[in-house]
Amino acid sequence: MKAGEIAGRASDAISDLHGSQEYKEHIVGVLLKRAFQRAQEYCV
Amino acid sequence: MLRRFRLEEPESVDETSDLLARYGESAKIYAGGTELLLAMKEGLVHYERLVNIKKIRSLDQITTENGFIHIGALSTHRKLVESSLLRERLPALVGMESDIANIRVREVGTLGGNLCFAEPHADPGTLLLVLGARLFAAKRSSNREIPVEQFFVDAYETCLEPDEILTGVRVPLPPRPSGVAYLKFGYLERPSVGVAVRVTLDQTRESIVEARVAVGCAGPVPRRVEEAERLRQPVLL
Amino acid sequence: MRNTLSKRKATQIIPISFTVNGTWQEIDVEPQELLLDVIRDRLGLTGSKRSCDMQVCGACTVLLDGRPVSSCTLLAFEARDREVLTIEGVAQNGRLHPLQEAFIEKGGFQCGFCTPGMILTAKVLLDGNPDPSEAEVI
Repeated sequence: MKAGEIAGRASDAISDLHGSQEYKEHIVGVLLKRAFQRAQEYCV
Repeated sequence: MLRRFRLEEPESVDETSDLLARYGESAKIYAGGTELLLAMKEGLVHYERLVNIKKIRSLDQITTENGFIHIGALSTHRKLVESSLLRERLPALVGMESDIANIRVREVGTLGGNLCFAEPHADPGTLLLVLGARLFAAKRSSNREIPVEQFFVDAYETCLEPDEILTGVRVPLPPRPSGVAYLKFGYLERPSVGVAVRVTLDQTRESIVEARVAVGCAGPVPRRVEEAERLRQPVLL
Repeated sequence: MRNTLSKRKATQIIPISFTVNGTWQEIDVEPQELLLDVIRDRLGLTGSKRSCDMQVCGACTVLLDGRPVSSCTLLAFEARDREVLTIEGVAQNGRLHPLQEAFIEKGGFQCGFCTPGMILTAKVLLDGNPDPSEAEVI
């Protein structure tokens, strides 16, 4: 399993007016990938 | 409309702690008020007394010492955004702070207030997790340090004792070479999902020595995801 | 109980002084009074509007020592010893501020209810940065 999927499941996401649990877990995965890229890009 | 309450304005941490001990759950610390007053206006909570701690002057300083940055709990989001020290040493924190709520909330809202209110849909806790921050709490005649991992207990609930005050946040300067990023997503006023990453590279900058991952907003409290941190490239992503 | 009424705690009064649009004001406020209500109901300056009432929309924006705040969620006593600027104080000597002129010239309105907040917030931006880039405006 990839980091994004693990983080999505670990996020304890709940379904509410911000979105469904599945949706939020998916977003966690997308953001994690981008955050990794950015963190490496801005490495000092 | 706000229901009537009384205002206390202590000038020291000890005095604040005494007031909290005396009045218990009928009193609440008031700093920027950006979260608390909303909840009170909605009638979700009511306190007979608000304890305005902004007269305690020493709690809004941002300083650096021995590889750490200390941020006073009363520092407003705007102050963090404009701090030249933070811009130079912790730009990821400045980036996160500059995108909190809106310019009017950043003007009065404080970092300490944000953490203590423990609203799940908030940004700072998630980033502070990957930065390895420790929180300083004080009450009369005692102080303690709390790793940020232990601070958030549940939505709107922290591990602070009833007569304890959050006085500041200590953030270690990230090792070099390393990079920090905080990203969030949401279409409402508050973020729906927040993700923070800190990667530390080896001196050749070719492989990751350590990765830290935290997620927030989606669930009741921000949390580290150690299982994801243990993965190594290329399985990481 | 006969003494129930006498047990009621006296209302707490906080005397504050501050300037509003350059005019010195000395008033007594209660702790729970909001700045927006003081400005509108007690000082009669109704240009600042209550709309979302949760610091999101900006219609209640006033400047406190030159910085934008949501007066709907700011306790009035916080204005003590400070300078408040509302939309009524932006025009000087009967002349509209260049920003107000520009809003009129370009028709920068939808219904106009939150325009005071837009003008005050834009004023803060331009006072600190007279020639901002598009990114800085956003």
